[in-house]
Amino acid sequence: MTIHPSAMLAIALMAVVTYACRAGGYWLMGRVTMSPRVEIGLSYLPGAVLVSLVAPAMAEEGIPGVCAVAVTAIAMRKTNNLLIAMVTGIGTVWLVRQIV
Amino acid sequence: MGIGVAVYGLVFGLLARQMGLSFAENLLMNLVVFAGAAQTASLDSWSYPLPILSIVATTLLINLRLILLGAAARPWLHHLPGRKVYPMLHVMADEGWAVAMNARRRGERDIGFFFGANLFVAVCWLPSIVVGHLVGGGVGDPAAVGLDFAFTTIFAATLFSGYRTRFDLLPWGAAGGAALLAWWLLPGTWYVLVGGITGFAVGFTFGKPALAPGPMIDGAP
Repeated sequence: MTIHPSAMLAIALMAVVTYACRAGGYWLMGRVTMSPRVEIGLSYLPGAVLVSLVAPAMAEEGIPGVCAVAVTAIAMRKTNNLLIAMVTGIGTVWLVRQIV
Repeated sequence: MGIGVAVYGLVFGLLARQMGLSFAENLLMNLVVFAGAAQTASLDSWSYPLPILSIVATTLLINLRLILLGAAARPWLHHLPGRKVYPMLHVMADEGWAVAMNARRRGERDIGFFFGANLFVAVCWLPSIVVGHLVGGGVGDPAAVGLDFAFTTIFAATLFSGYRTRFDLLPWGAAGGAALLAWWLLPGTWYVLVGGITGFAVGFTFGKPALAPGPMIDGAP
């Protein structure tokens, strides 16, 4: 039940930036209108961050990683269920590791 | 929607324990941050000494989309005084926001519906974190069963659930290429920042309009 000081700091800062985003957009719209270009750019940001998390992890893992990400993607498109996609992805990485 | 949220919450609670978060840390993070995708990304690099700067930068990048959610909700919510709106904005999350905005398109005008839908997500999320944390202790060596790859599968699943048009592949590809390059060249996890900004820049320059930001995933706050 302890909280590490640096974990406390990290969580507090995460909370601050997250709330700033939640409240910031609402606040900002009362003052200026967001340029459509910025809005479009921002809509691609979450995807870009996720790709940036996936690509290096996949490269580090090698063939099992590539297979697992492909299977996860297909499972997600077919079922739109996180749990199913995750379990099949993890299962694939485990299976391919045994073979390679 | 509730089930999707609870399942993701369960998975997060479990993984957070695996990464060494104490029960108090886990609960605190979910109470004050309350952003599943960003929290999951932070867990990925949660080892001491914590790379706080890069964790916070990644959190900011993933959550910048919340600016759009808040901005889009303004025409509905600004009838209430700020002292009521601002505290409630803390629980605004993709899923509840999407449900509420859909309802508004169909004629819903009650502001209570907006906050009710978002609060519902929080009410499903928090207990599932607790359960996930408790269950998490029973799992053995994560790598032996491929669980070390769990984050990557969550990120990939979230990514592809947000796939809208073929054009998405351009900013995604650019982001991935830049991230890989930065991963080879730079220390730490700065590749996330590099890739994210590259994707934004490509989307900003070549992006097509009229694509509203959808929820990141079915069930993620």
